[in-house]
Amino acid sequence: MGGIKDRIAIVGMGCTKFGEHWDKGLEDLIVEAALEAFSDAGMQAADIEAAWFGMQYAIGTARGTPLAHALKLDYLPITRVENACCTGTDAFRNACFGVASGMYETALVVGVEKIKDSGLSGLPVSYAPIWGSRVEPPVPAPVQFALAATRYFSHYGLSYEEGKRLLAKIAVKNHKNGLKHPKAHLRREITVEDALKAPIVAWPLGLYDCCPVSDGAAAAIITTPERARRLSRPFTLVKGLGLACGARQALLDDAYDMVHFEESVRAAKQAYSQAGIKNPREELSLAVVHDCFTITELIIYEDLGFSRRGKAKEDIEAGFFDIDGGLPVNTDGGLKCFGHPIGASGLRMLYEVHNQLLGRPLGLGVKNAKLGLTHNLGGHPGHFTCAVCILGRED
Amino acid sequence: MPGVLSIGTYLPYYRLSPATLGWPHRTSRLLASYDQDSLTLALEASRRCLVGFDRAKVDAVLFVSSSPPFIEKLSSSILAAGLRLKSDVLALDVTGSLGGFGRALSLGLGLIESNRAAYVLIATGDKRRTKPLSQLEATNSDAGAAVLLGPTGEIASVLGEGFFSSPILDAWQLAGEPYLRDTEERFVQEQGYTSALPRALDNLLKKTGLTNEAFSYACIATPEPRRLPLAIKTLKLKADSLLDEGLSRSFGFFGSSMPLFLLHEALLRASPGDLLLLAGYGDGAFAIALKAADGLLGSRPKPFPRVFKDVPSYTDALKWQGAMEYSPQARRPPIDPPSPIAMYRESEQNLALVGVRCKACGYPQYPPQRLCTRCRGMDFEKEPFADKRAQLFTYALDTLGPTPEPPLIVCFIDFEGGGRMQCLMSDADPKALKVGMPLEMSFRRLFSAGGIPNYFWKCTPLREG
Repeated sequence: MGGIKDRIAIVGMGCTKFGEHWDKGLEDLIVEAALEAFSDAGMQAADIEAAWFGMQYAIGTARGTPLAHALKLDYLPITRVENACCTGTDAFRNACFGVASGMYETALVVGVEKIKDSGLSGLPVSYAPIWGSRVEPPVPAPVQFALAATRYFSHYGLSYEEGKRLLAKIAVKNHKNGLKHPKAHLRREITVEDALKAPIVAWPLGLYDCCPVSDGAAAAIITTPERARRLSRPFTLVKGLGLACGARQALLDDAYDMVHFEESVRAAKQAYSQAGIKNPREELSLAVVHDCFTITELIIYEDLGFSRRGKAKEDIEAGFFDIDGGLPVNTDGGLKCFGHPIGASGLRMLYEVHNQLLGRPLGLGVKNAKLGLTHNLGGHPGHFTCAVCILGRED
Repeated sequence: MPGVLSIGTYLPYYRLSPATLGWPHRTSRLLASYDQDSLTLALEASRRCLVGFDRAKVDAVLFVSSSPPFIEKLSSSILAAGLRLKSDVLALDVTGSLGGFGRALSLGLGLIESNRAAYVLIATGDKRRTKPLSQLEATNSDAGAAVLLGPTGEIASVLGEGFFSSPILDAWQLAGEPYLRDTEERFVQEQGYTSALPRALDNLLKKTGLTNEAFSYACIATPEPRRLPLAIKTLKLKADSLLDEGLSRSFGFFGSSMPLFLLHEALLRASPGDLLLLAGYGDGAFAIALKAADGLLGSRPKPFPRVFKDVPSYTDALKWQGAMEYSPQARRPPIDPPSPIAMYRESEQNLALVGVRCKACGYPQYPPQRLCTRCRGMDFEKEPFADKRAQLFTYALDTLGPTPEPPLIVCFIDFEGGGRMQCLMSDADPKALKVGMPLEMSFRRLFSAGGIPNYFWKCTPLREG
């Protein structure tokens, strides 16, 4: 099997502010993120040979054309990617393969979501599957992860109060980080008590256990390391790309514990192996992970090998994942505060890691960051799709 | 002599009582949950009736209800599928009358006596559409009951039936109208059941040669149980024969299921050889004479656990019954209708909760898979899950989910003997849930969208009295 390590360079990235953009449409968001990426790379649309476009909610156009339309691209090949919360990262991943194959030298990746026009609370969800007999229960995202929280508490003997307090600490940390990032959706500090007192969304998860629903877009321009060096601009290198899809094991197999997500374990294993990472806890400088809910971040600590099984509690309480801890996680506030426009989130994470590695963080900085990880997890326990990407500096 | 092999009953979990906030009556009654209708109530009772009996032997299934979910479409066909009855079963609905049970019983016995059927299941269920604030609302409970008839009445044989037919308009629901209507009470009492019941009884006595005094137990189903002592006098029955069952005192009238509830009560007490009168009112009346059989001693019907929970408020009851428009908990898209094509394709797995068991590794799984989730084997046998007990593996309480009874309880359950399923839970106190608690499956109307009712299974806490 071939490797992707050091074969792709990110030369430009852009990201809109995430939030409730009542005054901006899909086109506005795409243009804003892409123009920042072009400017970062010192390029223009004419320099691009192909594009990958990530958007989860189709809004009537499940194809690549909305990207061409927004940027008036000149009949370029554009692939539409849709893979739940991994949409942005998977668009990036496929673009990397397009460049690594030698087919294209420079490619554009844009991820976007314009959800707030739906007028709904949360993401659209109903009995599944569409056109089926629709007997599977409606399981919106908060419920999916509340199921895992109940199980995690029960499995490790945490009382509801102990569990909630532990989760609250993750939310408090991410709010602290998000406060300092100018592009984050939610920018205010909260206390553990605030989180504990918040209304319940899907028991045991309360309001502050959940990330917001946001609009936003993010973009990346990638090329070969050779061309990146010729450009004489700062760039980062892709070290590993993992993607794993579940086959409903948690839903069918009563041996499945639900206190870990195997998809995360497997996607990370692929990426670590490509990047040559043996001990992620020690080797990574930072990680930006899919904290759609606080419990998700807790389980990710264990699944990605940051904490030992059942020991995330100790690391959380020791502040290991704080900005000044051993392995800062979600330095930009994470989904919890940066927000979560589905198709854009993976690229937003790359934006944060890219900027940290180049020593130009927009929010709180990690000193001398050399190796950073991004992680997305979408879907439902048992049939998640999980993407992991590792970026590094050239040295 | 043909007669009764077994009886099963089902009572809904919820109760409206003077303790219910806003309940405008002094009575208590049982209320089907928002996800139950006459068909699901009848199916639950039928499952209990058929315990230990080979379902493949049932030749006919008659669904009896005055409140069927469909005007056109046999509920009994759904019942047959949900109960895994054989595909050439004779399925028929007997609807439109409170007195349907006696008529259906006569039809069923006719099939058996003419050797057209050996075993006939009569499944009754009612969730009558009573108007808010009406007297009918105060006195009508929702329930289901079923009886299995066979060539030998192992717990009671049927000696004969008598009928009286009447065109009286006393209680009716016109096609297209949402609620029951009724006529002046005293007229119904005098010209209705106090007139119809004696005539049906007379016809029965003439046919069987029995006398009014012969019956040890009189089970008389009328919509106005408080007038029963009067009826007993009119019928010239033994003074102490009227079944003091307590059910109607507690919960009023069980619609089409009432006769079977009364018979069930009588069979809990009767001794072999006792004669029982089972009479009911509706569009005239029916009277049936039964004789308790020796088999009764070995297999008394089991009483249904009397475990109930008060509906939080009358407003909730109105919401559950669709009698009130209300704003949902959250702005969510409306539920899309299921595909009748997919529903038909998946009818066995959805209506009867039939999964598969891998022949290679033995692991049971629901819904059916093409490749085994454990060993990727492709050779399976069918595995019914509906009657298995389960344990709660994990759960979440969705405060914003689409339900008239928030929170929506979403759970993963593990079946005894293996297998896991994600499903919704009904009839539960969210505060009393515990990982590991015992559960059973219950047939429900999951939702109705685009005019399509979607029947499926949910789990409920194990109900034990």
